[in-house]
Amino acid sequence: MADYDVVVIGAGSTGTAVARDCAMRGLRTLLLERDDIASATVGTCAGMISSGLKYMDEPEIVDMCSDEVVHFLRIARHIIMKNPILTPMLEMSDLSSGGNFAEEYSKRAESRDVPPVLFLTPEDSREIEPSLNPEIIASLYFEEYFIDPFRLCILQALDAKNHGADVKTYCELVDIDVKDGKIVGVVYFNRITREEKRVSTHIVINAAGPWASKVAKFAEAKVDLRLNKGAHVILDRRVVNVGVIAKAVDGRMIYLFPHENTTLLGTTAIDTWEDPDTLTASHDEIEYLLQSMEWVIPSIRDARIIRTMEGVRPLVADWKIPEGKVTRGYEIIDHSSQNIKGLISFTGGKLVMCRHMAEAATDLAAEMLRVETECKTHLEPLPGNEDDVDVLALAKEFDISQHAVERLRARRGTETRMILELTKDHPDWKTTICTCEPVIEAEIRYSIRHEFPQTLNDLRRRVRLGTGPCQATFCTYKAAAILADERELSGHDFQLDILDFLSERWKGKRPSFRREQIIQEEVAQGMYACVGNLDLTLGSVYTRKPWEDWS
Amino acid sequence: MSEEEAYEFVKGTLKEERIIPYKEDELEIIKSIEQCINCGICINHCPVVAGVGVDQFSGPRSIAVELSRSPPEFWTTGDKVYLCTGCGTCREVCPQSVNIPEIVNMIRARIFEHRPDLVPKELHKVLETIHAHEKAFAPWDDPEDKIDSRDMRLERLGLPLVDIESKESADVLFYPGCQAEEMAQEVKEAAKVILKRFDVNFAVLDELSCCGLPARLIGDEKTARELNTSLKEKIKSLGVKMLVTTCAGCTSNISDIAVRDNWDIPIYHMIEYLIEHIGIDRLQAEMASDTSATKITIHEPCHLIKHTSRQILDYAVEILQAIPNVEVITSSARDSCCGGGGMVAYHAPSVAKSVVGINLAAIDATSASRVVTPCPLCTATLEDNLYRSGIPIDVDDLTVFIATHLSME
Amino acid sequence: MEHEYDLAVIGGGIAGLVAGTIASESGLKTILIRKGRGATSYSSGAIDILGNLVESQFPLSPIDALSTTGVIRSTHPYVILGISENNREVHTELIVQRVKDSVKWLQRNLDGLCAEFTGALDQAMEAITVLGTTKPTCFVQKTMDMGNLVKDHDDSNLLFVDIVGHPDFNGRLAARTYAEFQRYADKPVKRVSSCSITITPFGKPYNISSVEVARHLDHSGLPKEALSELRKNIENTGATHVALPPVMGIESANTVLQEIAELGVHPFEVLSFPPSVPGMRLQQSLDAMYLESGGQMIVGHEVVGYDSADDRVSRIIAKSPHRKMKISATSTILATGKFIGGGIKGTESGFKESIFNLDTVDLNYNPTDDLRPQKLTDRVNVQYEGHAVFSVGVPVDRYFRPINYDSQVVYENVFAAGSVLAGYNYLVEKSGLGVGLTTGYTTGLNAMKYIKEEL
Repeated sequence: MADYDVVVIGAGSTGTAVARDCAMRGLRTLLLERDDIASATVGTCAGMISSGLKYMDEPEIVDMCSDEVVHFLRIARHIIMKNPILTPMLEMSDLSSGGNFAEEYSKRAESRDVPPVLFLTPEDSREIEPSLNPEIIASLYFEEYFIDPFRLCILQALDAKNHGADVKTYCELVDIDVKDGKIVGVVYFNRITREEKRVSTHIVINAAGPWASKVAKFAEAKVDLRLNKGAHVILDRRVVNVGVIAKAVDGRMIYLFPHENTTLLGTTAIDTWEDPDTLTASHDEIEYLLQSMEWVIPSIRDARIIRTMEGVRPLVADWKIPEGKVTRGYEIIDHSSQNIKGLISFTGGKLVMCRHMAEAATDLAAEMLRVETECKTHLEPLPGNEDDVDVLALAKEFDISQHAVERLRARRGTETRMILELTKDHPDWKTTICTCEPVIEAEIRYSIRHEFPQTLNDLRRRVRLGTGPCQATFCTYKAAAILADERELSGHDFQLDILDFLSERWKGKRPSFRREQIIQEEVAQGMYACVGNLDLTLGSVYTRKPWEDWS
Repeated sequence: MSEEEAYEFVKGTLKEERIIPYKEDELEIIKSIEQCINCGICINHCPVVAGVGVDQFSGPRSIAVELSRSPPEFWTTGDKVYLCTGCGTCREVCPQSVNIPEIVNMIRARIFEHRPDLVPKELHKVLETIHAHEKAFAPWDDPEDKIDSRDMRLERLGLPLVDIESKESADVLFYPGCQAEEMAQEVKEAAKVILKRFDVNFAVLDELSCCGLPARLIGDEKTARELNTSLKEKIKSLGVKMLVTTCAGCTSNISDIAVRDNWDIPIYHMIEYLIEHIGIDRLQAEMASDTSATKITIHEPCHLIKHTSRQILDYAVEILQAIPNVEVITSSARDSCCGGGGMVAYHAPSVAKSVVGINLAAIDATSASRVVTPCPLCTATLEDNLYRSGIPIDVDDLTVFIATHLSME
Repeated sequence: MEHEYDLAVIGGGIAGLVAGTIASESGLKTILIRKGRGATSYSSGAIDILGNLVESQFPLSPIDALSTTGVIRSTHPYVILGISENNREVHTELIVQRVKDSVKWLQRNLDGLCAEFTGALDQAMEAITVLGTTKPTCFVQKTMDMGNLVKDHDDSNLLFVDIVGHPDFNGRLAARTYAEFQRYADKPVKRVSSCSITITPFGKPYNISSVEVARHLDHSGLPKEALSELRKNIENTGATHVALPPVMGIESANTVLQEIAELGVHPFEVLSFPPSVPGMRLQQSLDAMYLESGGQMIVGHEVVGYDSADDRVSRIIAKSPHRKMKISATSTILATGKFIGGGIKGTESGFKESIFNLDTVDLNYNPTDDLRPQKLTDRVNVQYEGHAVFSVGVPVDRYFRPINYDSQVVYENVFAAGSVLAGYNYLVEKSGLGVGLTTGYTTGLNAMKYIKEEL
């Protein structure tokens, strides 16, 4: 018997959804991720579980998106927020895609518990969003749901684990064993233990996103992708009351979305052939976004930019058409057609479809394994969504600030109590570590013990550590000490963890470096370079990250 | 759906999602708050943090980088934001001048509008009084008692009662504020004595109404605005050229709204008026020289120094030094909040008490026999707490202190 | 109302307060205008003179490093100190003399205040930080004096002590780091260990801020339980030295440390991150020094405008929340700091000095007015050369008067001091307070000369 029925490659939104589905159907599953959960494409998205408004030309996709939103509201309500969205028009031609947009959206609205597309007068629009350009002639209004993409992936991975799957992060696929045109196993390299391991499996599901071609190549199979990069500018706090969609300088649509306690301005779309690991947002991309949004929100440049983020979309390989015309649907490739049995790959897709994609791929895998199963991923709640949480009562019971408990709830749902319970034995764990979010020590300890983060950056994805305006200036050394303490790291590794997290934050800060962030950086450099002396102490042993390399 | 119906629907969603759109003038505050670099200097200087610690009151920086960042979650900040005394120390020490006092008001306004159940109930009671009487204090049951109380205070201080002869074409409106109008009547009367001595052509309001600060601090922005409008109309109808007040809170609040609402007249605290319009020489000439030697210490009201200008207290020292036989001794906590601000004392008296405790110890450590402060609220707060702590030091409002040191006519 | 002074100092950090004190103690009518607190308040407790010279390959003592600056970069503020009156050439002995003078002067002025400091210019010091790393500096607050820890490292036994629920310092990780790094540097102490003690200023063992511990200790001294926890751990480990978080009091840290010393150890505080208690001590002491000299200070006022005539600034306008003040002064010292202090602003299109709109330059006096800030940064966040952006400031003449891109003095009566100056990167050099002190001292003297018409 093989070690596994299925090995899933890549722990993004799709990979974690596949692992969850496979495990829930009783397949023996291994999820391999070369970095951390949600560390690439999905970690750089806005979290919109889109009703498909951009794809009105593809009605069947819109249907699917709409249904998936309903599923998410059922399984993950605790990490979802609704955003009202305005599309202000300076002239009639600012409307995105002609007349059928409103109609297509509206006919599916009711099932998602949102209104049909509405029209608002300029006056009413400005009541809702006073920073809108007074010159607007009207605006379109609709509502969309947003999910915490990090928590979604982590919860899917944890749920997969709960159903028996093995989840291995920092384990990079280095080979796929094929025998007689059939998948028989994979080889992976554990980047932490520096060991290589070979396991046998019947099926490999390639959910590696932009790296899908590279993964397929290990089995001498082929996946065509159209890689397309996109940047976001992240603004401090919610500077707009509602989401705003506007036509960009080139006629594409861009958006400004309140997201958690930040505002996201995005996105760009540029075809790319670069290694996704080396990409950072460019000055051109930042200007493209600012200038485009400036037409409808003239004060947008006054807002504090805390950082940027850059991701790569693994689009379906439709060529010779603009990026916006490429289908937003997904494709599942059964490589049997290339005479490789047992290898399944994805191209295309959107965050909202991840569960649907997983269901389709798992169906195919089950068929290959000749197992009869039923998908339940749209019915069973993800961890934390089991019940409502009384924030005020918990705050009182545990003597913790209400806001800290509310933010904990927004990430954790019913897990909140479990985490707060830890403070009964360890009252000092009530201490706030990240003052922006905020994050208390108990959540960090809990996450380290149960959610397999290896670095501070991994902790950021799980608890939003260091995502505020100071971009980890003040939490890094405190959280690093906790991580080092839990993992019994050496002093050297403790310091390197600090440098690694600062590097990762700098990756996003540097492209948009200006005004407040210069001041913020003077503080950070004052702490870690000047006082902490890490510039002199560790300069020689620090290994440059892919995006820091000169070559 | 018509556009009107659409708007109504949208308002429903906003309410459900707990989104209260920022108003245009609030965007300025948001811009200021975005400047916070999380350095925590404010934590080191916040008097509430000093009084109760960061666990109970997470401090100004937490308001800037944490509690004010996500409007739909403002409702959860009620356990912290109502503990801010609004002293403005954080804004002053802040390298970025982040406007914490205003963001606190803004968050409170949102809690008030959206979750009035989470506003401390004692504050609702204050609002009832304000709504009923347009003042922060209920009027006396028997107007005769009020007069008796006033006369008793005047007699104790040896001050005459000044009748205002004419208020037609007065240059100056003297505005005592709620506290001196209803409670500390000696401050109002002392101010009249001073103004008369220097032949100022002044008027007072027949029916004083509140400047709106308490309502604003509670978060009832609507009531505050109504009071602002009502006061503006009263003042406009008098046609005065300037407003002089003896209250620190009124000075800063009216200075603020007078600019915002285009009152087009300057606002002065009595101290500023005396220095800038009467002049220190005239003032000095009118001071009695036969008073006994007194050692005093000054308490500096936050609403003057941190919300208006530190210059005013330099003026106060100048005036006190012009009074014969008065020695001014500096207390190490002279500019530390007395705990009387931000409406905290109404609902969290233990917090207010911890804050004033810093002052009491410092005042006690001076060899002064009297505290002088240019604010009736600080006067009352210090007087009450010194008395309760058994510290035998008297407190005078500075206006009263000046009036009682004028030479006999 | 118009207020008249001989000297107006804009900025209340070390540079401004030193300049103001120098002027005021020699009888000039001086006013210091200050908005809020700045980088001086963030002080770690170390007074860096020149900890690291990027251009030099070897670690140097401050005096040796200063002697080298003269031959390295003519734009460095220390080098400007060394320009001779006679032949306008740089003399390193002038630099060293000026630094010695100002350090001695400050040491005398802070004597007996809570930021009293210790150290020597001819010795490099490796002070321990909250991370457990060490940092090259020159002077530290007296409470941070490590005694013979390093000198007799073979016999030293160091115990790191942290406070339960106080997140700013983790003794266990600091100990681990210190032990490893000292071993690597071949200067290991005999033993390194750590322990936690309990100090609960408000009765709760969590969310304890540094300042509240310091105030608590000022007020009530070290709690008995904490002292006995310490005694027990010292006995168990045989510690000779105790490293504590820099929160042992604002005013009375020396007394608290004395109490610990009676347990038979040498206790000291480690260097701190902001919001720092040592920073409070330093700011408080410098403020006291200035006020003692008879200078006036107006707090909470930001300079928002000025009038100028005949190449002189004749009047500055300062604004508080609701009032404006007009101040005319014969001379003005600009000591507004860099980005933290607000002296220099960097927008996406370039850099400007924020009060007089002066031209700004970088390390080598290249213009930065239309340079995108990102271009003055490195891809790697924390590394040996640092980021050039933090050397942006105003260029000055040999008297520290700001000059424009044509090398002309902008206003003959305006002098600049401290981190508003260009030509050096205090973060990598570890020279922040040192440059602030010496340039403050020097501009104070220069302004005096100007006012007495001797410049």
